[in-house]
Amino acid sequence: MSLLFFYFFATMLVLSGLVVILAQNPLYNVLSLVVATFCLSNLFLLLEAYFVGIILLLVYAGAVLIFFLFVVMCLNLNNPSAFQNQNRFKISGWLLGSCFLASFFLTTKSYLLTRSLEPSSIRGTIEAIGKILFTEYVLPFELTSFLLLVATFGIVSLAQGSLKSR
Amino acid sequence: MFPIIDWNILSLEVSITAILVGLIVIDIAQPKGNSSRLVPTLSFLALGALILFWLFNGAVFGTTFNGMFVSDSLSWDFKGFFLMAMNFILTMTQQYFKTSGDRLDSFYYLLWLALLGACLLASSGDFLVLFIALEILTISLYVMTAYLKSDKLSLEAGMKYLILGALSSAFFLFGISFIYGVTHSTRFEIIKGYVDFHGMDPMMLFASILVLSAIGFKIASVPFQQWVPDVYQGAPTPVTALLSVVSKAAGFIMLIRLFFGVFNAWHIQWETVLAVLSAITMCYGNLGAMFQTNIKRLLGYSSIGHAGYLLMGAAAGSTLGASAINFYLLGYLFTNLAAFLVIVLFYNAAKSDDISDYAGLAKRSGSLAIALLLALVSLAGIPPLAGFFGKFTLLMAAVKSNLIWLALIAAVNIVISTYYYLRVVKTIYVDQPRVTTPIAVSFPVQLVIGFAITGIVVIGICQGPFLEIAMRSVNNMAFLATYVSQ
Repeated sequence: MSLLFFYFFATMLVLSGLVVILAQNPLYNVLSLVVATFCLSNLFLLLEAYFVGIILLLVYAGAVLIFFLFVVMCLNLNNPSAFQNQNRFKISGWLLGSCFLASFFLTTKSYLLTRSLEPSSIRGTIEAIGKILFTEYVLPFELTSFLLLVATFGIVSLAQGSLKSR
Repeated sequence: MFPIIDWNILSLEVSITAILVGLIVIDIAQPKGNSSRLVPTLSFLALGALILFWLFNGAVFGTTFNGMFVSDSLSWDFKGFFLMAMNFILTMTQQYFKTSGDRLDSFYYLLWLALLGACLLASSGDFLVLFIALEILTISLYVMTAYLKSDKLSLEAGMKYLILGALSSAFFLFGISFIYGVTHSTRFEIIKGYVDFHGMDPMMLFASILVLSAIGFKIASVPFQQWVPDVYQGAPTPVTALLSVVSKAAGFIMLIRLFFGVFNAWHIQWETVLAVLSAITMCYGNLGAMFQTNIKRLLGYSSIGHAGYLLMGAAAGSTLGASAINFYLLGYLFTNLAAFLVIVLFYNAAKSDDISDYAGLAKRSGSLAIALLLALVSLAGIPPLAGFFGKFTLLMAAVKSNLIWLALIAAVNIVISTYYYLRVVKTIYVDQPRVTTPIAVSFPVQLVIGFAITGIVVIGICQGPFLEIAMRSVNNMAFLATYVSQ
């Protein structure tokens, strides 16, 4: 049964991912990104990584992407012709992308043929993640506070008025 | 289990954090009005104290946080490198923003945060710590690049740097996720153990190519060099200097740590890849620099060229190659920062970065002209300056590893580069000045210029002790692969 769900959500994920890059209307791009995030979070739930799944749903689909949607609607990007004049990058983009995909497939296939993957012994509940985060991974966890500090300074200094004339 | 923490190992990072917090608190606590002087002055004092600490306290080697934080010869020497670079960059910042108002304090905070990120990056023993340190460094650079909000070029530069940087971070994370998937760990020690045991593994190879692409972005090597000219030109000059020295050195630490240590079991494959990248990078940089009219853009292309030379040391794959990278970076620090310091001072007087406006600089300010002359000549690699001996060791490393074709290409490139560096020198010394007002340079700034010149000359003339430091820092590096030849 869970295998069935896996294939369903995986297919949906790939399809909605394609819509994200192929759709002409920015509104559809963002909406399909929401769908993609939803499918991804379901895949995490199937892997018993509950915390990551819920966070993906809450933070990305719930907050970030809805914010995106607001911006897109506020900017009123109804005129798709603005995005059309980038054809010269299209071919090289597809070429690079398919090269990347091919090498990805080949490496993953050879890897999966030689050894089997077993699921992680740690369940992805909030309790388990919290325990690991505050013991084994306490250094990276604390270091992210500097990342937030940089972001704060960045936003404050960029949002303030411009420097007096240089 | 909670990790055992040895705070002595973290002393430098803890001090930087304390300084940062102290600066913020003092800045908030002081009465309004006299704000613009205090933070820069205190930053200078604190940096001086840190440099003294670095020089005289001696390193505490070891690992802590279960091996996530590593203090070894390589990281300790590079931390000294960053502190030294910061000394110049603070001087530049102080000069560059001389006339601007009070929004400057957060610029200093971001500089300190960038320093912290760079120091953490040098010491990371885990991919997660490495990634977070890299992001602390890079995100503060994004913000500082776009700092001149009224300047369109600065905004454009910040935007370009942000988008391409985010892409490279995504590659890096994707690579790390593969490595985690294969080895079930992000710790360098465990990954190295896996690689030594299992050897060639397509999945790890794929992952390490992704990681290499992120490093390539940081050091500005082909094919991730597109951002360099625009960002170098648009960013405020102190930030350009930071990008060209600290950010590049950070990339090379990652390169040495990962490709001479963690991933080194496949050196045979890497040699060709890095050698080809190196050749293309140096050709691109040097050919691109030939026709530039803006000096910051010229130095941007030249920094791509230098990334190419430096990659030659990585392609050599020997400890000699890695030490040559270290030695070259040390010379490059004094050389490049001297050049950027002159650019800042000249901009303050002339409000221009065009090479044609540098005409007759020698008649307007002797010390600036000599500093720029020595910097450019050293970048070109003319003896007896630092750049010459650095290039010499890199070429020697390449020849010793049987990469004679690469050494030949590098030699041709060095000849090409002489053309555009000397073209600027000619403008400074031979051409007639359009404006003849002398440029006044205050005494403390002259001291800093003098220090940079001393560095360029001393490293060039008595290379021995510096080369020894460079060798020692590689030979005693943590995770150094046993495969690496002398």
